[in-house]
Amino acid sequence: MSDERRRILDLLGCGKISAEEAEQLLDALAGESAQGASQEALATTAAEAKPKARYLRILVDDGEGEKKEHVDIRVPFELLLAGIKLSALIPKKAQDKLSASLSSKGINLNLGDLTGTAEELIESFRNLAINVDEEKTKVRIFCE
Amino acid sequence: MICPPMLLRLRISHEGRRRWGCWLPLLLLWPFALALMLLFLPLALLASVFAGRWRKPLLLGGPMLLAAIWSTRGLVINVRGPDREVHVSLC
Repeated sequence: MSDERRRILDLLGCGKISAEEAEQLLDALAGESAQGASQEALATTAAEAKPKARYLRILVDDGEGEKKEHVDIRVPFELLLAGIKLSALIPKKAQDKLSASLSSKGINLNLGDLTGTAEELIESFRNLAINVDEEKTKVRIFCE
Repeated sequence: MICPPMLLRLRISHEGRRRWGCWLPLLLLWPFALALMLLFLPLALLASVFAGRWRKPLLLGGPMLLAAIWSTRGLVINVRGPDREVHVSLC
């Protein structure tokens, strides 16, 4: 039993509201919960119907006027996944050296861990959106 | 199933020069790649017996590399500077 429902019944039990008022309140509560459930179902359906992002898009605009530079890269997620899986073939010693080198630069990344969670990592990328706006530089990273 | 890239489109343009571009039919390469893989498969299997710690890269390297190349379908790289533009796309 929900809290609201219990509270209405308590009020009825205490005699603070009449049976008709309690009925009206319970009806209203039932209508609200049905509406909430249908909205939730609609949101779930919309999320399922939304096409899955297949590409990671990187847009960089640098400079102004005639010296403007523009970079537009579209990378398929399949390629990222294949790249991560391919990195599993790097020998353990080389992986350790790479991790040590990266951690000396403040990046804690272990290729062994990365390959184990490659699919989860790519899935989390599918909702990625990064916008960087500086005076002359604009960077956009998103999925499409 | 991943579909391999069929065409490579390359376009390079310099300011003041004629734009250069080409379409490379990659679909013609895949039968050769497959034939090469089949040719090297017995060698890779034989080598892997004596390879020790290189066994895994020897056996899986070829197919995984090929899978990575096949996954490039849809890749687009476009770089435009003040006086030149380079466009590479795989479709």
